[in-house]
Amino acid sequence: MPVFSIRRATYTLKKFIYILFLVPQIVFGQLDTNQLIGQSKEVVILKKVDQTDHPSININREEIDKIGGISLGDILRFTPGVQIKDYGGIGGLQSISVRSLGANHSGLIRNDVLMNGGSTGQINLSTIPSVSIEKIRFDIGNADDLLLPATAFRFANITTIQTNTYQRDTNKISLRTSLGYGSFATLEGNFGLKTSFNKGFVASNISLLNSEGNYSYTIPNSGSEAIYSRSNAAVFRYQFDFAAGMETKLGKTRIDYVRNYSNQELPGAVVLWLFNNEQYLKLGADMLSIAHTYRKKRWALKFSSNYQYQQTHYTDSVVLNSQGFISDQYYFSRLQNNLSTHYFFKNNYSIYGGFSYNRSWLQSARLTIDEPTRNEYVGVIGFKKLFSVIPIKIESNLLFQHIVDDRDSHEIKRTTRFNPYISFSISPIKGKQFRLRTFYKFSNRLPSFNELYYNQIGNLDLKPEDAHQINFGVSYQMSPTKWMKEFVIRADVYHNMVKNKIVSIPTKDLFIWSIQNVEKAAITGVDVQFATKFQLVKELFLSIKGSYSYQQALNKTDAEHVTYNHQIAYIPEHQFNTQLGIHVYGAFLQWNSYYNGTRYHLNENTTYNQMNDFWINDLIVGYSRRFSSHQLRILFSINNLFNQRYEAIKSFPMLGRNFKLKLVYGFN
Amino acid sequence: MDLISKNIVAIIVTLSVLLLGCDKENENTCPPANIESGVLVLNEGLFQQNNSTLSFYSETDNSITQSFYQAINGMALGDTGNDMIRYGAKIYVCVNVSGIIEVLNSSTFESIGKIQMKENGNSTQPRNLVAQNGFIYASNFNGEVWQIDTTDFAIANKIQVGRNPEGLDVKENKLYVANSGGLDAPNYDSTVSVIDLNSNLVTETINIGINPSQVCAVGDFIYVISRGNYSNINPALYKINGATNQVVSVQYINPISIATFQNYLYIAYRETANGTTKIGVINPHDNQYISPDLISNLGVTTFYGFDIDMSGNLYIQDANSYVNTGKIRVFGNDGTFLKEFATGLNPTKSLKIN
Repeated sequence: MPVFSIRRATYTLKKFIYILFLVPQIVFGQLDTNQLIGQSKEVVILKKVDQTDHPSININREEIDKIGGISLGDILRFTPGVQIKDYGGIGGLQSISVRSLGANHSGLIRNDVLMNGGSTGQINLSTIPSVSIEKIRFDIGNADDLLLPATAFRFANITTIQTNTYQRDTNKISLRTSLGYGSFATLEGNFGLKTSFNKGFVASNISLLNSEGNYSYTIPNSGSEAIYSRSNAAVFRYQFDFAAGMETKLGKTRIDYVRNYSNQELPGAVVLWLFNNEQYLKLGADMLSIAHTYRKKRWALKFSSNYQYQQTHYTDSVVLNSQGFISDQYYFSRLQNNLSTHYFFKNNYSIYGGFSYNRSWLQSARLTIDEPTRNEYVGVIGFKKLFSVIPIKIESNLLFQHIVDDRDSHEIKRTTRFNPYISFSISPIKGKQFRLRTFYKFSNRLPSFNELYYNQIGNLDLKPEDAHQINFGVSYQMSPTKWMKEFVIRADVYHNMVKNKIVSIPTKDLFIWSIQNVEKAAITGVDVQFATKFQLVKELFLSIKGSYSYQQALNKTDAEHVTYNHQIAYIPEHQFNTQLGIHVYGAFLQWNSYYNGTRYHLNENTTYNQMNDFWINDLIVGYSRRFSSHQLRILFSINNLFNQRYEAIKSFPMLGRNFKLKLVYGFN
Repeated sequence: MDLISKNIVAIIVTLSVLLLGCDKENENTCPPANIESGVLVLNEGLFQQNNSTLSFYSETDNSITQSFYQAINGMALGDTGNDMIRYGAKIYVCVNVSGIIEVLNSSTFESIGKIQMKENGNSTQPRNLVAQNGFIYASNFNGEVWQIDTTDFAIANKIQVGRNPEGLDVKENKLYVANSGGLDAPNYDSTVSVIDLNSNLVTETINIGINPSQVCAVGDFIYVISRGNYSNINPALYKINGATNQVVSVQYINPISIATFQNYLYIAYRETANGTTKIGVINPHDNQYISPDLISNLGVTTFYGFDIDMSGNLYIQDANSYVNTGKIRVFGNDGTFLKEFATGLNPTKSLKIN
């Protein structure tokens, strides 16, 4: 007798859900510069930390090289509190979770432009090549640059990246090139040329990635140690960027055009006894931006505007429907306009404010309506005060969001939220870089286009997901001594409350799933990090860095439910990373590792849902040499040194041991 | 280390082995419980998570062994097990996403082999099984019913039916196959294919309501559930005369799942008034309920179908919101609750083992 089940009905639906949640839109683009941030060639990690009221970290170009990853996600995984959810492979999807909050709570700003968008509101970090990044800053709580778009202040945490086309150089001509070749026929290249004038610059950069991606893997619980090779895993990507800036009496202007293209095969989940996959994802994104900054003594004003257009095409060639395939296309457009200002008073007091108006619209046959549009009116106003007698710093801001979702000017829904942020810090010991700090932030992440309008499961009644963050931290930085050049330690204890969490659940009927604001979570955690650098003898340096994170992320949805007080799916209680480096003259040896503790792939914490922990070790050797204006660097890395077989996400095996050789040449 | 310490260490080690040797951590390697008498449950698991499992409830010692297949065979079952039948001395488990039919020895539960349900390396997605005349018939989402020889597991025939065939059952050497067209939603199929098992040809195609899914032969009739479109077209229970292949009645009684015992139709249905799921018994000759409330309180969170064993006991499957440990609740043929036990994720089929 046949048996009843819902699998058939939900099979297609689950493919859709896969697209909905696991295929975030590629987004890219950039605009504007003006802040003259020095591009130090020295390791400056944590240097700026002690000046902030909230946890933050800076990563520069040299550190990016020493971590050695291909994408932004590969770099950010060494940041405390950050978990990168990796779907495996070269160019495989990567989403971010910071302190157990979902990816939509994390903002990304690239060259001052907000990148979050598309149909999902998330960013696939693997689409952001690390080779062209000069500087990364990661902040939990509040954005650091007060001239950023007001929308940058809406996130629970924000990553800000600057590429080599961001601003003028001191040299007339500068060249940044690199070429890497590694396992699985992975070719990674970058070519960046910049001409800087007295009052401006013209820069262009292209980054390329091409890989067969056919790495080997084993299947857990298959009863054998057989090694398989990942098929349908090739990827080709490029990012082209052209920017120019000019300084006049009226301020600085910067224009920028960025194109991103990605064409990749998706190897998909590894399913037992089935080794075929024929899914593909093609993305194309263009962005044109303009920004103007005016500064006058104590006053700064910045205007920026940009237009983004993204096309996403997902294909599954093996579907047993009448067509024999699924072909989903999304066309996302957005216009962003921002005005920000900052005024410094004489008594260490400053005020700032900003306003953003964004209009975005999406076209896809997968949506219940033709072309949903979102109008966002976002304002922020805040102040900073530094007391001089007692070194106390206070900062607060209030964000206002008014969102109108409509179609053909017919309003569908209207959402208004006020989001406060307040921070306080004190350096109680005079002359010591010892700081106590705390912040509170309330933020909302908006439901995405897909969550509102996706066929069958979208829900127009969705409210924003709320996140309350409270953080207590301490940081201490020792003054350099003869042999210890750097010593910084930082610790934070935090508590996050998530309400109205947006999740997809079955409702009413076995067959009717819907996206709802149903879950609650309470997250308590600790982040500890340290960085030291010793000068052992004249040209021999030893650097040791590391961080440890503890997260208790408990489901608080329903006290009667079996999962109440269980650890949320995919959140490990323990994570740590280490970076150990020895530098002698121009040569260095770097050992990096990161550890993810055991976690569960479902919200019910049973042994059957448990996933093994993993500790991945990378080794990089490098040599740098400068001949007058020419810089040459050679890097060789062995990733996953101990060839650990592991999965970050259930059924998505990660890379085993792999190698990469990279040459970097720079002029000026 | 003195003697006492050594003994303590030995005791601790022994106790650890005894206590931990078969704990959940190591359950996959646990020796199976008493397996002569009990209930074998197929759990679908979740899509693309390779966690379809078998659970075994031993009636000898009331123990439950999860991941039972893995414990015996040292490997996982696969992804999304949809159906399981016993035929002769073998048990056949159809594993939809993995594209296999796993064949087990019905006494030892050891794997005899895996029948590959694939074309060009892609799964045909076997969905439901029925056995007749020494063959297994498997409906495949690719639109075919495959006839499999149970002696050598060779595919003897591939019979084209409608779109995304699912439930199937045999009545007098005729195979009735429900073609749901579920992967074309909302453009569902609405037919039942009739295959003459002498010729293995489709001899008739019967039109019924949209989205036919489950088929159950009861006495002279074949019952088919049409699931509707989960929106404005309601599910319905169709009755087909096995002699004429004519639809003889349509009942809009919110059917969810059907099974048979002693020529009566047992039906799980949703009561319209309050949405409660109940199990009733229908006499196929007059379509009247003998008992509309055989079981009025199933005691489940997410009803996921039911099965009836040879003694008439009912096994109610609870998927518990699909992502949590499921359970089976066992009721006697008079509707009295007998017992319940935990299973894996999304229990979908129960087989009484004697």
